[in-house]
Amino acid sequence: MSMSSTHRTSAPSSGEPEIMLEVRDLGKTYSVKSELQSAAVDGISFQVRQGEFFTLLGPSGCGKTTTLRSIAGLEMPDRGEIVIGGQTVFSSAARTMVPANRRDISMVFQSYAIWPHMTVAGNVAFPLEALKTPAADIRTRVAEALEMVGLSSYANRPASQLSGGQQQRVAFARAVAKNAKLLLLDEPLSNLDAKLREQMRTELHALHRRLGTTAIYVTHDQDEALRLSDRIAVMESGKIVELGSSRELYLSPQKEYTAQFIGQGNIWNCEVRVAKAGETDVTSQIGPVKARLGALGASRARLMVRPEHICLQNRTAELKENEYRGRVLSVGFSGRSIDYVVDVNGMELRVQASSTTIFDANAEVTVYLPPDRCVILDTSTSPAA
Amino acid sequence: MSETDLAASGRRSPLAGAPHVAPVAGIGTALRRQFLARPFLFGLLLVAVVGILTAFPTLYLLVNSFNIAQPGHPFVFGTSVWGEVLTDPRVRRSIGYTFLLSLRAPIGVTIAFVIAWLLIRIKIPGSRFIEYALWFSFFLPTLPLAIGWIVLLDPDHGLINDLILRVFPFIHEAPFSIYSVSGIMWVHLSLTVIPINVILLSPAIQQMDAVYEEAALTSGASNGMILRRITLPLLAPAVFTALIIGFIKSLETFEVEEVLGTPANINVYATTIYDYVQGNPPLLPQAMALSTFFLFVLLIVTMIYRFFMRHGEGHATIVGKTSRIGSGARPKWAYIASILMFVYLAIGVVVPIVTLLLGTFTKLFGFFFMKNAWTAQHWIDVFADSSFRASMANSFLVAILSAVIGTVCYALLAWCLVRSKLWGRQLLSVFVWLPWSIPGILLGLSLLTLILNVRSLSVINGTIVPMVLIILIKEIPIGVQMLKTSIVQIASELEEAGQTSGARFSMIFRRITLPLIAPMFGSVFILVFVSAFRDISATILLSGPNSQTMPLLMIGLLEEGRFESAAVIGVVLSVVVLIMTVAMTKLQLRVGMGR
Repeated sequence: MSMSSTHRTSAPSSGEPEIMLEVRDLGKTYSVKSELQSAAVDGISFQVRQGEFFTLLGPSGCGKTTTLRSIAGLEMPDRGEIVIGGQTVFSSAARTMVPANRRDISMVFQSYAIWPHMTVAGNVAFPLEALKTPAADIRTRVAEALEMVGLSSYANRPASQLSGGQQQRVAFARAVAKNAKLLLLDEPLSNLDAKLREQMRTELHALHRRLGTTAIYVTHDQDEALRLSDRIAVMESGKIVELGSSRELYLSPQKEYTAQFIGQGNIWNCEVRVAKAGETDVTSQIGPVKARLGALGASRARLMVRPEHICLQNRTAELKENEYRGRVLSVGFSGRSIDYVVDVNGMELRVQASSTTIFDANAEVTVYLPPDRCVILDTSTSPAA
Repeated sequence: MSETDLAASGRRSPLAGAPHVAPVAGIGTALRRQFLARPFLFGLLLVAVVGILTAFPTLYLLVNSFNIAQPGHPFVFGTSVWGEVLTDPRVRRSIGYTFLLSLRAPIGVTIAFVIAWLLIRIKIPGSRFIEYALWFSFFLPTLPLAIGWIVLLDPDHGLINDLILRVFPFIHEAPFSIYSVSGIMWVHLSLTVIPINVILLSPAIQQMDAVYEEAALTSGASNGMILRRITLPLLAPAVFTALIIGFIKSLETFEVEEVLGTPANINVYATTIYDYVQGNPPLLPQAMALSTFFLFVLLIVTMIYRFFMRHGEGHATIVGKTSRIGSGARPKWAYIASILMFVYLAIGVVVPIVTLLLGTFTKLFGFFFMKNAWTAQHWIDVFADSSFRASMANSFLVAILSAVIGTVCYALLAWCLVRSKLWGRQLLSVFVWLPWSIPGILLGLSLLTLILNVRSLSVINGTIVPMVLIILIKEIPIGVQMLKTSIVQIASELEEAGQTSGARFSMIFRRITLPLIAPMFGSVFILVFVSAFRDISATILLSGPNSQTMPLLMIGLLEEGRFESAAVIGVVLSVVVLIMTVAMTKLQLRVGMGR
């Protein structure tokens, strides 16, 4: 598996919004015991533009939270550089470390960290007091922030009496009230139940649109990442595996890790026969496949097709391009969609289809892999171009 | 720039030369330099100050136990004192009695664990009242209550002994004597050891997630089985800690042993040292050698403790939840347990207090059945005495100053130990425990010697300044420890949220940390206040004619044989302590509501 990072989106040119956050070669090692050192973050670099919603996505322990806490100033990295809105807040070379309270950031914590001994308004007002905002301004800005999250009537409630969802909203209001350049969110939705999470996700999306702040979001939930983010950095073992927009990462991932972490995929070995511009012909166990996405230039590669992109139809006499004969092995009915396992030339393909047509087990079918959804994955270990 | 920077890593050694500074907009050169230098410098300063305050007496003891010079003469190295002390049969006997009497620690912890469990988990009727009564009895000055017990259990004319001899004509000898190992044990167990261990163990039981016990309950286990198989093993670290603390503390007490042990020729470590110091001439090197011996004992105990705690780290039982087993399922025997507890409190606390109080109104202390036995003259005399009024003022001044300064300092120290990455934190955490190992009288002695030998310090000689200082040192371990446990329980994200809100350390500490630990802050305040208010051993050598406190005045009166006046002061002390206990329970109530 490749450990190199793949940055698809090029650095912004002068016409684009200014860069709000730049992380360069960030590294942090935790020494659990002296002999056991583990790199939590291992040379991460990325840029985030003004107004962008940028997500660090990965399994627990991949270093995403450490990265976020380093940006916040709650964690001191071993090496690298962090620049927020043009101000270098951390630089190992220059031995610079601006403490968290002097960085132009605000943060929403996983546990919300709502101070239980203060009122709702007291919580929201705190950052403004810390910044020595005049009292009159504090009142209006607290009112605005609470209005924004729909908690105006709760202003004078003790914060300890709020439900989880309400605490979440207070945490947002508190972060928004500070009006910082950078909004950091550490898995803010993970403690909510499924329904509330869905609702808060929508609200968060709307909130971000309205405020236009730059947001750095940490999550292990791929659904959340795909729906909210402008761009996503997929992380593993302290490194960024791949970086791109939701669409790019889902439809045409370059790395097998990304393909598996975001969504599901049928992935199998193939050999490249002809590589033309925008199209590659490969051979594999199921036969010749034409693919129009992914690392088209690679020689030895893996082929990926998502289950919902595979089309099943009744067995046809003639096979066209990217069509194969198959037999349904199993049928899983889940209402909205049907999950099939289809045997194609000895290989089991997972297929997800709508319930418009339902095939029974052992049905003979023709399987079609749309070339525009067939992705060649890069298995090389060198950094991609 | 504030101490917040301390929260960031101090690992990077600033000794590696002045930090290279790159031109970066928005941050001054000085700020960056401070960031890198401060955790180290501040850490060094803190370690140095705490180290001097706590380690100095220890080192002083160690060094001077090898001093064979005559008092007032220059230091002469020699081991003859050690040989003398270790071969002295009286010392050997006192060591034996010390260990024998320290058995009250395991006995007390066992009883206290059951009581704490009854109070928290079974919630026997009157739990809250019992809890407060235990706080009260722990706070009570022990010496006056020991006097109360003498009145009751003196083998010659103790009231209870008299009564038994009269009621049962076939008994010809007084059945009880308070001047005995069991008498001393009883006074300690009933008044301090059991109460303090209930106080220490209750929060541990309360904070242990009840789900483990509920799981046992739904598995069909009885209360006894749950206690034995679930609660006790899970709380083993807390119980073990209480045991060690109990052992160490048992080495320190001397007033009770002095008053109750001396008539029966029972000497312990602390009283032997007291005798050495009070002797004519004072045998200071001998006192120090004996102290050093017990320092080694404590060192070994501490090492054993650390070893066991390291191997017990697997139990992560203390979680944030404080859910409780439903109080509806209170077993029938809970009422019997409750009655037993009230009987214990009545006998252990109420009886000696009442005896003491009545004693202050007797013409001749303890003789209740004479003709015209009663008088209020002692009270009138004591309150008319200007030295009493002065001692009262001194007591309050010492107690309030110690409590105010102490609580703030301990809170900051505790925070540094829990949250900061200061240089020398490990060392600091060791220093913080050192005063535990030194009996108050020796703390006082070493400070007194320092004051007498350093000319510039002589201005504070005989004032309350060294008395406050010695209380501050003496209470560092318990104060810092209590505040540490409280700070640990604050999710660090609550403080981090303050940081990311842009608040400086002082604002975070004042507005977030302090309010969240307020109940514990208040408890420590009262604890230090009471400790200062009733202290005898640490301050006795430091007080001058104008800085007498009430307990010191009381012990002086006892030495003069004026039991009645001493008892009056004992009652006044107890009343103030009672008021403080009520204040403390109010704080505890607020904690309860916060949960």
